[in-house]
Amino acid sequence: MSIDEKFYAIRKGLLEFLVLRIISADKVYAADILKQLSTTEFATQEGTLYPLLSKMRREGLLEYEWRESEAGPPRKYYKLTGKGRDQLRETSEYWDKINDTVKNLGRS
Amino acid sequence: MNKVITVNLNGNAYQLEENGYEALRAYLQSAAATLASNPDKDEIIADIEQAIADKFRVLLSAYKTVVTAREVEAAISEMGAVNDGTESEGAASTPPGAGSTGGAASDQPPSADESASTSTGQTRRLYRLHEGAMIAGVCNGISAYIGIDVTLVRIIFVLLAIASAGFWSLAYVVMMLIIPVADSAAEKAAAHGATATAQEFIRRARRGYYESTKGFSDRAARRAWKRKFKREMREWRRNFKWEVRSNMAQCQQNWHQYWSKHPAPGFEGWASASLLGLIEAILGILCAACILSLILTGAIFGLALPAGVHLWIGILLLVVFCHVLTWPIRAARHFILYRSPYSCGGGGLFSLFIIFLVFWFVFPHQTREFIDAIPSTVHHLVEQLREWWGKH
Repeated sequence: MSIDEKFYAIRKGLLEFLVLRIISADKVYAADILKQLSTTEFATQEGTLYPLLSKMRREGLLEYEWRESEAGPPRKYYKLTGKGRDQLRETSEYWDKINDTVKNLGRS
Repeated sequence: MNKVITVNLNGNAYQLEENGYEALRAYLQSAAATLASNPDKDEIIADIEQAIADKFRVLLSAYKTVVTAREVEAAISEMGAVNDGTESEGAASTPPGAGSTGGAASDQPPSADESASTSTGQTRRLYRLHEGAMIAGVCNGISAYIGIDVTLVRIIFVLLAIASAGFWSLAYVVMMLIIPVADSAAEKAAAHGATATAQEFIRRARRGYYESTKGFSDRAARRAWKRKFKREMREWRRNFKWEVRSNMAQCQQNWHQYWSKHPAPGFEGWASASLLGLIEAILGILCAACILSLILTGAIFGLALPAGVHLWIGILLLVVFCHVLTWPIRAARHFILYRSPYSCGGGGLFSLFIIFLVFWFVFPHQTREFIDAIPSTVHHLVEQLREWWGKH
């Protein structure tokens, strides 16, 4: 079992956190998110991202607005809601804690 | 030779080779099946169709109007299988190898992003824009705000600065202190704001119109709605034209009224007024040169500021001095042109002075720091200019 496969579940769980982080930095549309993820271990395809975005919107973490684009039809630009920002903060803190644990456990 | 099938992807027609069409239909059907229990199914399918359409659009040009079966397959594999995020199985990011091949290719050129954010739906706000700015981005921000070319704004600013004997530069400084800088992309988008043109209005109305026709199952009702919509559009256009016409008429009337009340000065009047204007402009330039020399060398024609006097006091005194010097010329010109004594001459000066004082008291530290920093900034600019000049 390769490392890639072993960490499959972890990557899957972290994807939402990363999407929250990307959207918190700036208003983005879906292709932006994919582009930012594409160079990382979390490279994702539309088939995964769109359902995730819609789930997050249903949960009230995101909202979007339509914006005109000169190159084509209007696009959905996503941004975080207050709830989304709260969740991002909580997740970040939790993530930091996990990181510390991973770093410090087993060291003497 | 292959048969071509035209498909509608989220409102746009694309021509696909028959095999490609079959593949795409299978993909969308399986996506719909996966999302069957998802409350946002329709919306996600529309998003996916749009993403596929975006990929196709990049491929097509005037000489290539058909998407081949292979290109359809490539687009589908870039999209990846649709995973419903709510399910526990099979919902995850794909391995990096598979994803990264698609990621970069599917994205639109960055210029498209920029243009997308220039015409947003939100209200416009006045910001300073640092990108492409000459000094502090005030002109840049104003040009974005009112939607005219930045060069034109700059020329107007320079002309105003000359015509107002350097006062306008003070106004620039005030704007620089008041107007916030657009830092985030959202603020930059807000600086450009929405283009509230008739075209935009019509496009939005149309979109709303097509959205609402979807809900009609009855043909008669749809036709009635269509008629109503067209009538409304016609009415709106008529109102708009009428408004423009009445505004123009009003403008013309005002103009006539003005000239009937104020007899135009004769040729001598115009000539002498123009001459006075020229003298005033020359004095203004001289004053600006004095200020520049004071900033650059700390002295005017070898005359240094007395010790202990701040640079800002020197500039302020110089500006006031210039204004006082040109006052009689302005008064004479005003009298020739309008046959009335020049009473409100100090108004602009006074208000600017008050603004300056207010700033002085509210932000004493920043203002002084800013003015004291002018020499080094200007030196820096001059150095850069010289370097640039040397290179070209």
